[in-house]
Amino acid sequence: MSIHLQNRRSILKAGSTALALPFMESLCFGKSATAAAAVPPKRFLMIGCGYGFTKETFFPTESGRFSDIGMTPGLKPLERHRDDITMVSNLTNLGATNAHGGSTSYLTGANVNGTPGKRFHNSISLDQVIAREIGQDTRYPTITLSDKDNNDGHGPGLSLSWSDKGHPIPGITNPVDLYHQLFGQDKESAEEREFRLAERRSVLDGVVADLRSSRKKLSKTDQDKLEEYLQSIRQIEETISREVQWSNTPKPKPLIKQPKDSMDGLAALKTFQKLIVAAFQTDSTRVITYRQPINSILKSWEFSLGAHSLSHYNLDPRRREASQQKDARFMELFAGLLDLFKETKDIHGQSLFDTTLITYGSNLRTGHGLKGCPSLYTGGAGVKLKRGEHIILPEQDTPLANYWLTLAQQSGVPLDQFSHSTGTLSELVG
Amino acid sequence: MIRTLISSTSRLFVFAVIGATLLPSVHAESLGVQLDPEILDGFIEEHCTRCHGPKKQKGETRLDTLSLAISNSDTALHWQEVLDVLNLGEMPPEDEPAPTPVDLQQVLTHLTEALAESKERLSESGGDTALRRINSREYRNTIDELFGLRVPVELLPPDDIAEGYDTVGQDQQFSSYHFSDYQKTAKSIVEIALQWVDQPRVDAKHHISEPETRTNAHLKNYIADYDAKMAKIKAGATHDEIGIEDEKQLQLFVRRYDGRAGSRQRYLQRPYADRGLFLFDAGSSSYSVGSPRPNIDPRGTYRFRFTAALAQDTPPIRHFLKCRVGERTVGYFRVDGSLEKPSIHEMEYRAHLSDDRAGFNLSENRGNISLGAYLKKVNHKAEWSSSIWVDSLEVEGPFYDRRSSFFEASYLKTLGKPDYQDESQEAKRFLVNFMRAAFRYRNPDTDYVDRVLKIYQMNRDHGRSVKESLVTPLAMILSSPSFLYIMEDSPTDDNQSVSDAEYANRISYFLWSRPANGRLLRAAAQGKLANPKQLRHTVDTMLKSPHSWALAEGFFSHWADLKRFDEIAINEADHIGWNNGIRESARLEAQHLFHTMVKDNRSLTDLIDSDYTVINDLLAFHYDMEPPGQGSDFIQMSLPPESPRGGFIGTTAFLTMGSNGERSSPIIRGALLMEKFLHREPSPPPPNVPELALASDTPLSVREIIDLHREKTQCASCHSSFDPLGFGLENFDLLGQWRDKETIGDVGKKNSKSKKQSTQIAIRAEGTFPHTDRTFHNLDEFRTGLLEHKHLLTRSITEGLLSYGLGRHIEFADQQAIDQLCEGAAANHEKIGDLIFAIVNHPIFRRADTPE
Repeated sequence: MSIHLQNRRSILKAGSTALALPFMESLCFGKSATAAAAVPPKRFLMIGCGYGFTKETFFPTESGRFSDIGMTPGLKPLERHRDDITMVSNLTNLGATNAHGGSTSYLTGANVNGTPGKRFHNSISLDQVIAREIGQDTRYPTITLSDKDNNDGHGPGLSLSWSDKGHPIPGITNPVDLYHQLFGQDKESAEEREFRLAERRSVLDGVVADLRSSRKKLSKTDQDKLEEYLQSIRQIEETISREVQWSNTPKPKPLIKQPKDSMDGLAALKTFQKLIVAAFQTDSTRVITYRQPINSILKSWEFSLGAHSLSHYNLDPRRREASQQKDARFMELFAGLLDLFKETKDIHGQSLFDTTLITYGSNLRTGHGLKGCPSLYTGGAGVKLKRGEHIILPEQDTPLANYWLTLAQQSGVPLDQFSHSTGTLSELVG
Repeated sequence: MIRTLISSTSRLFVFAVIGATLLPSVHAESLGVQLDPEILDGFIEEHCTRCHGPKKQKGETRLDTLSLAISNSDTALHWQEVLDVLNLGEMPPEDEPAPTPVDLQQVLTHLTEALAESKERLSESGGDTALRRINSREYRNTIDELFGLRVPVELLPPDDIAEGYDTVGQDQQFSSYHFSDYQKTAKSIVEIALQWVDQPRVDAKHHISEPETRTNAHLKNYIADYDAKMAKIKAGATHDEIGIEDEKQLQLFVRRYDGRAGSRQRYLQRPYADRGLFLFDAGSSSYSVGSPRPNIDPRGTYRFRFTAALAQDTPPIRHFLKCRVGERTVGYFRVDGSLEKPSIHEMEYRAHLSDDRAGFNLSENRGNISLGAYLKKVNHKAEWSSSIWVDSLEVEGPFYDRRSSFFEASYLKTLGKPDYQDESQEAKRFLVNFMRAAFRYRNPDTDYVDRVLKIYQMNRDHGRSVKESLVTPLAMILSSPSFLYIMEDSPTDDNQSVSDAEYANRISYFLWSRPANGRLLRAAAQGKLANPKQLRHTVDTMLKSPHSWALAEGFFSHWADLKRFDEIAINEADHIGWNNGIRESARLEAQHLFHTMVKDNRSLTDLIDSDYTVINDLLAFHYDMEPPGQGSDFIQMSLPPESPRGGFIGTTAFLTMGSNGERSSPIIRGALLMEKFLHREPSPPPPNVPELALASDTPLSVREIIDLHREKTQCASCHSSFDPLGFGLENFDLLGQWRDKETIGDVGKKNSKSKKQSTQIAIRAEGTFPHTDRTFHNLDEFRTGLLEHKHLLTRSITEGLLSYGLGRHIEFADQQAIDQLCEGAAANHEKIGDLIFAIVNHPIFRRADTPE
């Protein structure tokens, strides 16, 4: 029991600096600690930013190391990370057709509007694919975070993530909810939990019984439609199994203070950044996607224009100035997140930054343009991935899916193909 | 096949009416779109094939062999690439001759429209209605039908991402998150329903509170406390003895006497301060006043009454009170009584499921900025900050205006009986009854019944009470497919129509967004719905009922794109006439207009021009009209002939949606008018069109900005058709208020301290109808022109209603039915009630899905 005391005390004492402390073996949680001991785990964070950037001042035109070509005004706030970040030019998400949809198919590459018999069709997103490969050892296979704004340039969807059937996966929009997921302790007794899970299983069996009997009377198309319902029940059964599997492992002790109930704008984004780091640090998950808010952040900064108006920055010199400011400030926030990753050690005492792949981008380059989408990556998960430079791919409109495939493979995810990928990008590997 | 060809012609005819000649023709057999060789062949030959043809295939692209029939998404994508490079100006390359602007525009228009059309065609399903799940509105109404309880919107999982109506099954998806959400929602509904199911209905009670009582007592205590400390200081007490930090602070304390205690003293001495409360004047706690908070019976209706007066001479924008219950705004009141003769205001409120101990709360309706800034902006000059004085808040209730619900009656006959012999028998009766009603009287499977009962028993064995044990089984029923999906049996006879009961449910979900009630099901069973006369009577009765609000809330909100209105953000500091009260009222105005049309069987042309409008007092102020003066209600008011109002196009909802949040936008208005009133949806903004650089040092009028952007061929290819339309409404500003002049120069500035030159220029509401020579020079001529195109509005509404009612997208094969419905409407003054009846009575509405 002395271990517990030590835990609590060190965390209490450390307060916010706890993030910077290496994790002792005694602080390890659950099976991940032992399972992961052999191979250090890799982690993935993918951030979607909706509308793109100011064409003239964000994107570098020369290729080469940032230390040689310098940082553009838009990228300037990332100066302190300049040897770690890479920007890739000439990528296009081939499936994307929505001029206001920077995120809908960002991680899926699906041709959202071009599927016979369906007005809207998406496919599985990269994070879900990765989680299939590496998501078994953590309490949550993936964590999905999202904005709750409208008109942010993300397009249809509830987050960056889409299930294997192409259904939107809702993201957590409130930091306090993520906090509860990571650290919330349930007061349920073992007996109560057993009853609850048994009851839940009976409910699932029951609704499936209704489905089977009513399906018989329906026409063929309608029967197919019910298949979705059945699939969703199967998924819930899986989450119950995982809950049972983890039910005897207590959740980690909180690493940060519980956020306020209603949080919005900049405060919410910064809290999410801390919680993302904490989620990786406690090995609660290894895959996170974040569809980042824009309008609520602009509001926090007291910008009078919204994200869509800013994307049409060329209509007015003041708009353009605001758009450039927006770019730089978002990069400053991103730089702050990278600081957190660099300061934090994982359960093996390794820098969290060195074990994570972090990507930042959108389908939209600038305004309504879908060609040459902004693509930034950083982190050390892929040892051989080039860092610290601007890479211009030789082919215009190189499929974004090739980029995802390359990043995933280099970071140790055994994939042969992803979405509409046609190959890997050797230019990224050095 | 002949039929398809006929309707194909008529569809093209529709386009031809507005004079468009560049349209792609629809390929009936292949569900594809045929590009026009006359437009493309010459252009490609001249500008493309030298590099992308038989001899060379630069970039591995060859265009002379690319099919003009867009019958699959590969071909569509290929043509999209062609469109992209043309839009970007990448092709033809600089060293090749450039196409003429006229040729280029023709090709761009044709490709843009054809690709949008092919997107639709490639996603058709052959007229079958996909099984559909009840949407959020239908769920709430269905719960009302079963439990007699009103579910707040927030409790429900949001509807799907869909570009069509929220009834379209094809666009719906179901994931594990949906299931978990439905279970959670159902559980909270069922828990409250069970809590109240056997509570006796009680007599209404009065609860009164005097808002000044607590506030004044608080003020008096404060003054007494200050006085006591002052007396001690005079007597020589040190800061320690009084509990003040240090000597400096003590001096401040003495110096602040007048500002703190004195001002409170003056407030209390103010006439009428002893009888009521002046909003804002008695400290921050007086910004709003709350009524008593009785334990709200969710089955009941409550009356809320209060007394109010104008406190002093203030601008009229400050004469409105907002009334809320919890977080929900329930109405706006205009105060016009004087302190000598205050007025009494009243409203009725039907409780929501989760109201619990919420009371009514009153506050002044104003922009979302600080009080000080607001007072300055509205030019408030009076001595005090208050505008309104409030007295005596009274809540009376509950009143029960409905019979006991199905759920209550069914419980009291079974498990709610004072003594019963066999609990499991009664539980079974109760649960099976409930299942049948919840499943729209389709019989549940015996295996399912057993499983539900087993869960009940499992809970009982676990030591839970009868009511506790019912929660999971009931929530499970409400998350089962038979409840969540509107199921129809696969047709077995040659008739291919849905059954009478299914037809009744289709009608009821169409008109009321709720399941067929007992009366309608009985009528269906007696074959009455097959008799057009009796069907007509049924439809008329249903349309006149308050439940037909569902058509305004569901169909019309989507047709009118009110979501777009909700998404417009307007800076309330820059536009002081704009606030949440106007926003919420304007949204309701649009819905009330449509609901009035439905209830009174008015002509569809009322959407273009009407001699009435349906508003509350707040909007009357916004529109500078006589207030209806009936509390917070929306009232139909006739318009004087010279009024610019009337029609949906004359509402703030439409006009503000046609803005970019900073100023009116003729472009957006034009596109909306084109889509809704001329039934021709402009293609969505295509990707990869380069941004315009219009940075100009001299301020431009809206008209100049728009003219400028049409100079670019890529923009003009679409915008030239609808931009000119939008000018017809230029006399309405972004808030929907009338103006003769527009201010240019400092548009959208946050702090316009540096007074840049801003100029006033006269509005010119002039333009042309697309592809015709028909011009207009003012709002009247514009309205007349729209009325001349009323057949297009009829088609737009007819297709919309049919799609909404059938729960599927309108497809090519439906054109014949739509032609018939439109002809019928045209022959009958486009009356909307008649049109709705014609739809319900049309074979297409009874048609079942194609069997295997």
